[in-house]
Amino acid sequence: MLRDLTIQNYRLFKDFHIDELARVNLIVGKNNSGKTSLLESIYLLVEKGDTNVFLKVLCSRDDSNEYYDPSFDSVIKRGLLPDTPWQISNLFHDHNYVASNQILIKSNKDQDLRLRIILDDWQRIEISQFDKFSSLNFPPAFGLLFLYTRGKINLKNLIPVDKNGLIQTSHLLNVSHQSRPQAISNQFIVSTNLSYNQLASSWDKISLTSEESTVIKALQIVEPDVERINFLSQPTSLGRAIVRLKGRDKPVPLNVMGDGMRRILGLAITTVTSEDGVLLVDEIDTGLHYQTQTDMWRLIVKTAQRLNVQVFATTHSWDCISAFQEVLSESSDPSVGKLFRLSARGEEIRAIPYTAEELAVAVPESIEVR
Amino acid sequence: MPNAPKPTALKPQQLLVEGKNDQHVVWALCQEHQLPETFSVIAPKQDRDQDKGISNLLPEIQVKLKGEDLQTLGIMVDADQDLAARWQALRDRLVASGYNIPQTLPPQGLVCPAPDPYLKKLGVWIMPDNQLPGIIENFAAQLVPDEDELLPIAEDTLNKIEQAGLNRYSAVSKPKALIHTWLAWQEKPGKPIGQAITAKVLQSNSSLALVFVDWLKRLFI
Repeated sequence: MLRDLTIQNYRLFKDFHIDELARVNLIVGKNNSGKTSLLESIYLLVEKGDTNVFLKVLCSRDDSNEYYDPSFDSVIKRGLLPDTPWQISNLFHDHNYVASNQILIKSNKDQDLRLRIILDDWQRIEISQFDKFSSLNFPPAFGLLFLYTRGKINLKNLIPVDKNGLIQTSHLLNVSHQSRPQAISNQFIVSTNLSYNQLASSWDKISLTSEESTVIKALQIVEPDVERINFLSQPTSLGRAIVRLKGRDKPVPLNVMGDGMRRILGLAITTVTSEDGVLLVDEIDTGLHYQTQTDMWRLIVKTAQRLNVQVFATTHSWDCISAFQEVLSESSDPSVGKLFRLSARGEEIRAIPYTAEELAVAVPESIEVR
Repeated sequence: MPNAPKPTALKPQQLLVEGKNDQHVVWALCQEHQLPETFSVIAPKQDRDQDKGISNLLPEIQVKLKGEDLQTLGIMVDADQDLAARWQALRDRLVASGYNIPQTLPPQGLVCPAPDPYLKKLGVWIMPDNQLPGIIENFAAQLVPDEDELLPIAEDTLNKIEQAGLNRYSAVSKPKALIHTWLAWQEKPGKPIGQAITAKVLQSNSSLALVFVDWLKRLFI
């Protein structure tokens, strides 16, 4: 579990430090205070600087956004990259793409984890270490190096960048991306709903295991009559996910049951498939009525404890914070959860912590923590 | 459990007080001295009972001081029986939050600038006058006109019923009994302290009131 995190020169963070992280961390803060950047940094670190993950992160910030899809890995693998190049300058706090500019994301309290993302002149990089790039016909101006270390383990990755600071998709087309070890699964959910394809493939891992009931219970938070869920192998006009409701002969397609069902399904499936990993959820309350949020947090907190998942979620919602506090207060170990507000003063961003005890003071008195 | 109500919009300058009564006293003094409305006066949702008062307020102060938009926090509490202990408890919390606080509370009230951009300007006033034990009712008694002839009689009366063992109030509540006895004998009996200030039955320009208003001005204006 990550206990601390230092982020230097990544997006809004010049030199950011957050400490005493909990198992379930709720992140609040005004717009542009770095909430999503924090989730991204954690994702990049726990995914060991995987370039697929990096491109996914870039894509998710793309203004057009249309290319972002959680099944992006398969898109890259199929070579179906968007035509527009990605500008990398915005990754750096100073918005510069000069050689030797570098991002550092590290954690050292629990395990010594370190990811450096360095922009360097292509000529200065020992390309021979990255055999997949030996076939590039025209050497690009820069390379973006991903250097990951965990104890004695070293991983290196490289992405070519042109003289304008752009990642040209043509450079990536012929590159086979390393498939990463699947032992630990980390998940990043953004406000865009998870695709049913993604959920269906995750469901295959859960179906007929003891975690199946966790997912059913999650759906019952929104619709108490749900008895079973299944995914059709072929999408029909009704969509892919169907549920059986108490007292009904025929299954009902999930997508006629509203956003909340799809959202809670996404949360439940991703949580139970993140065993020993990290779950990152941007705007966790999206689509969920405030009355369901207490049950949602109960599900997430209990599952995270049982399956050793560390959760980082963001919200703007008071109801979401209030529900979080309620669930922590009934937990036998309230320190399982913590709230952090990212607070900017000039260039500095600090994480202001609120323990469960402090939330138990603030929430009933309606003292603002956002 | 129903969700806790959303926080209401408050001014970035706030004065925390112990109860609704205290709130009205501050409002009345501000009105009499025509202070601009640059701060919110906040009482806990439910008036605390005497025993729990400060023990509830201390953790609240710590949480308040972490607020994103808060610029100035004033704290107005009763000394009760032990001023030194109250000050020490407050001081410990504030030092833990990162403030540089003098060992002794200044008689004119504490005003402390924000030590860093993440902390707030801070003020402390301990009723009645930062120097003596007591409660806000002792402060109110100081607002009784100097030559008033009823106050000594009210005091005598209380002493008499105490000697006869007829008092139903505890020793701690005696200042409360005194000021409300006195208020009961005015032209319009039974006004709460705040209204008595507005009606000029209690004097907003008594020397202690002026020190208090000056503290408010140094803190908030």
